[in-house]
Amino acid sequence: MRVTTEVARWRQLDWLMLLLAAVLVIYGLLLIYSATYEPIPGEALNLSSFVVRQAVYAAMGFALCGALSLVSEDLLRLAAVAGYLGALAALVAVLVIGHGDDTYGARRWIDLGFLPFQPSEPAKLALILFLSLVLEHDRPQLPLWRLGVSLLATLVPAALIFRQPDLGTSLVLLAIWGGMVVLAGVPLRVLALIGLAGLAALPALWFGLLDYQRSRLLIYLRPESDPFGEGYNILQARLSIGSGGFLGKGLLQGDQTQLHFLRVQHADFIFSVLAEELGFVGAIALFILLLLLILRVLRAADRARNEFGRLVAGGVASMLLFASVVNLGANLTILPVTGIPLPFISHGGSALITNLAALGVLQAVLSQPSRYRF
Amino acid sequence: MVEPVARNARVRGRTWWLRIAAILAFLSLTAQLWRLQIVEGRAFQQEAAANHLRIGVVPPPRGLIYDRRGRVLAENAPVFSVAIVPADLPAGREREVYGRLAGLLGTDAGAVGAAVAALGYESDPFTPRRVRSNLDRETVLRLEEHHLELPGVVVNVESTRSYPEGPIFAHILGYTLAISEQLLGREEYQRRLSQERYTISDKVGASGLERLYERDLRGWPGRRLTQVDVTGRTVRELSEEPPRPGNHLVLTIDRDLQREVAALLQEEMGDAPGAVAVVMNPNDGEVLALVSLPSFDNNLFASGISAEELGALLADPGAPLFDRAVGGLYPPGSLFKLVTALAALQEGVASPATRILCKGYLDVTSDYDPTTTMRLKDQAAHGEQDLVQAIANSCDVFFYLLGGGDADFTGLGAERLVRYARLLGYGEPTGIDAGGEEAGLVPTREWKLQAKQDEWLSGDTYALAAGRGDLLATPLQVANVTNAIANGGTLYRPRLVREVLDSDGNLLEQRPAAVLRQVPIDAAHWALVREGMAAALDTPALRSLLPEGVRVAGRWSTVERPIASGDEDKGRTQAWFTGFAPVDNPQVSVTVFLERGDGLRDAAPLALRILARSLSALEAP
Repeated sequence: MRVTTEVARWRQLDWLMLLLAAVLVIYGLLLIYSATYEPIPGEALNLSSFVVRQAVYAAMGFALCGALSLVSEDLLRLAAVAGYLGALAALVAVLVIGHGDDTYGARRWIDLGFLPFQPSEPAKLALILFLSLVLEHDRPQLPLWRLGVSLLATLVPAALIFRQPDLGTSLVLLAIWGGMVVLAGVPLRVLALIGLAGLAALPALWFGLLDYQRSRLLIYLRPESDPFGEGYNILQARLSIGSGGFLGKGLLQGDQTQLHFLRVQHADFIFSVLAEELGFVGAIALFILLLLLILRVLRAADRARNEFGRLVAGGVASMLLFASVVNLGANLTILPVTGIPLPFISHGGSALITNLAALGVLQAVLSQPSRYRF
Repeated sequence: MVEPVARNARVRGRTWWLRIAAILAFLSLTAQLWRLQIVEGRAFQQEAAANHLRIGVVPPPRGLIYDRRGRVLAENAPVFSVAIVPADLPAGREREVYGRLAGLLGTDAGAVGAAVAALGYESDPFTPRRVRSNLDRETVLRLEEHHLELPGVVVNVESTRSYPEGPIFAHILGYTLAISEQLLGREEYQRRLSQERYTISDKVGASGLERLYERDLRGWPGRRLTQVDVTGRTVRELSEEPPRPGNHLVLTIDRDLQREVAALLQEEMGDAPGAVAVVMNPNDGEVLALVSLPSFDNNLFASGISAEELGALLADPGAPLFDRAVGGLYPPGSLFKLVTALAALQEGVASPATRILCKGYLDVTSDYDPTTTMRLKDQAAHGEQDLVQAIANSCDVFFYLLGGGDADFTGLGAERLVRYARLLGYGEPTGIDAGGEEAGLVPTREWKLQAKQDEWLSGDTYALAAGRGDLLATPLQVANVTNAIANGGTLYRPRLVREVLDSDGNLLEQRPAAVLRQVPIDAAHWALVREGMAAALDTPALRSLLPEGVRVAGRWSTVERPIASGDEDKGRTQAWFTGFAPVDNPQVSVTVFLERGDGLRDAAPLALRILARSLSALEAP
């Protein structure tokens, strides 16, 4: 009996979604390979440690994804509470014992030995699950108390992450909340009010920013004003992308990339590498892959057997959409640089594993036995 | 209670909001991607190329300089230097880089910044500014190790000049210096940078043959298109137009003879502040040895002379940088009597039969008052003299009369004297291929009016005829007059360079003897003057010094220093000797000048020793 249920669940998995994720991860590995390529004479294939590490993270991520695919919803609900509390604890811990790159004095990582662990990444998934619990309801409209609790539940980790400081990830949390609140059926009037309140809060937020964050935002408006400082990478990214042309210069052939004119080109600016070396065609391929994946996640929202599952999928879609657009927008110099990695592509273990785990959770949502249907 | 279906329909529809948001977002990204890559792509491609492509100049190896027997006098030695490419410095953080570089070089950041600024920013910022040359190997390794922390800093292998003979050839060879506006003048500097592929970190010949033959020695730089990474380091070479190496020079100088002459001169110049020796082949104008003392070590300039070292050289009272052989102006004294003799013979004022009684003085009528006479003195009463004897004895009275005449004797007069002086090369540069040559001075009526605001008097003519006037000549000019006497009237342009070879050693250009002019004086007159010079050396004081079996002709002179030259040397004399051998078939001429000394006691013996060495040097295979 139990065996047949398991077999049935395997059938429910969204294999296309997983395939899209796998293609994106492989695409990312290829780009990291190119972005960190250092020619060593006599060696045909020089795999940098970045590629190897990312491949290991990907393997870990897919393993986690597979494991999560078959968990029960009860366990997910339990994990939502435990994960959320755990995430808060980890975010506090990172502020106390964490370490980070000294350039901006940010504390984002906890050293777990095998990987430098960035708690703000899994915190996103934990928040999605927790918000799904909070926002789940069967009223025609979202009760206001749920809205309030969800906002509070978002602002606490967002504030902790903002303190690291990591503006980008805290914005991702707000975006997740926004997307999920919309799906949860917040009345349009309330939505408009929230929007106005957000606008009103902008000046306060502005003064809450650190100097470097403010200058990053400002420089986005006029990168030419500081071509060798803050504006440098924006200009170099634009140059890399622009010089790629229609077909690109070829993998490993991008002179902007290979001569290290771009900084953090394996991480936040990996799209510039792609656009330079594989051109418009390669970039559009990435857009299509990402868009298809996000649509696939939204399809999971529609197919979820209950409101909880629907909200989880909506949260994951919001997270992926916001991160992709903000990262790509920064590369394309139409949005300020906030330091958000490109999902599945940028080098970085915590983000990759979290994103793959999120897809695993979606598989679990899709494959829940029918007793949870309503 | 609202039925769940209605609620579901409305709220469930909201996933479409997200779908539409996603599609719109990616469409905007695509639009921007299209704009950057397709619409503005070409412009960005060019800009990206400018980012990492550099056109560099490939310096050609400078030509070598050999002596007449192929022995190296100037060569190239590799040195490491560190430079800064301003374009590759991180803006606003230049001082950081200066500081780090200074730390590795063991100096302070200010010095590095000054070195960069000193070369100016007016030229393109991609040209490296040399911060220091002559780096030792350890420093080079340290710099290479830290190159990632030193954006804009490059280590180059450069070539520097090395002069194995140092001071012995310093005046002839000269030296190279970093190209600059001060060195070349604004116009020439700009022209070389814009038209001749010089870069602001190049060195150019600044004196001597290095300067005069810059065009030959330098070659022509190639160009190299390279790709550089973000720190400005060359990653790969894309194309190269190879440089054409400089041509080699083969000098007329014999290295060993030059060494010997320099050693002899140094040894014998005593307390003289300066001394010159010129050894030439009178038959073609080739300079076999050319020494001016004191000298300096031109290697100091090659390895980057410090301000203190340069200051010391410039402040040295002996003026070691000054090439006295071609640039020093001195009164030749009695040596000018040779000119007077030749002019008088050619003009028919005197003949081999002319005999004049020297009583030790000559009384001449004053220009101002015909009723009074002035007495011009001689060293001694020489008795009755013919021309040969007068030259041998350096009889003043004889040449006073030849030049100025008196009531009974028609002299040449100032005009004719001046004309012959000029014909023999006084008052004009010889045209030797050495730097800093002076023209000398032949006094004339016009010159005196202008320089002294005074009329030309008959006394001036007498003085000029006997070599006591205002006439000034360089040792090289004196040597060249002697050459013309020796060869019977051909005035050659003295030459230091014999051949120009290409970088593979093939003969490009043979520099033939260049005749300045045939001096219009009959052969017999030259011969008579040669006899007089031969007779001059036939004195007890010198006889023992003459080389065996060779007849030598010569004339020495002791000149009172011009009054203007300062009290310290008042009453002291300058000494000359000029001569050649063998008399009947002259092979070598020697001219010696001592800034302090006596012609007979100091200059003549020294010159005769040099002459003997020169003759044996010529015989050597």
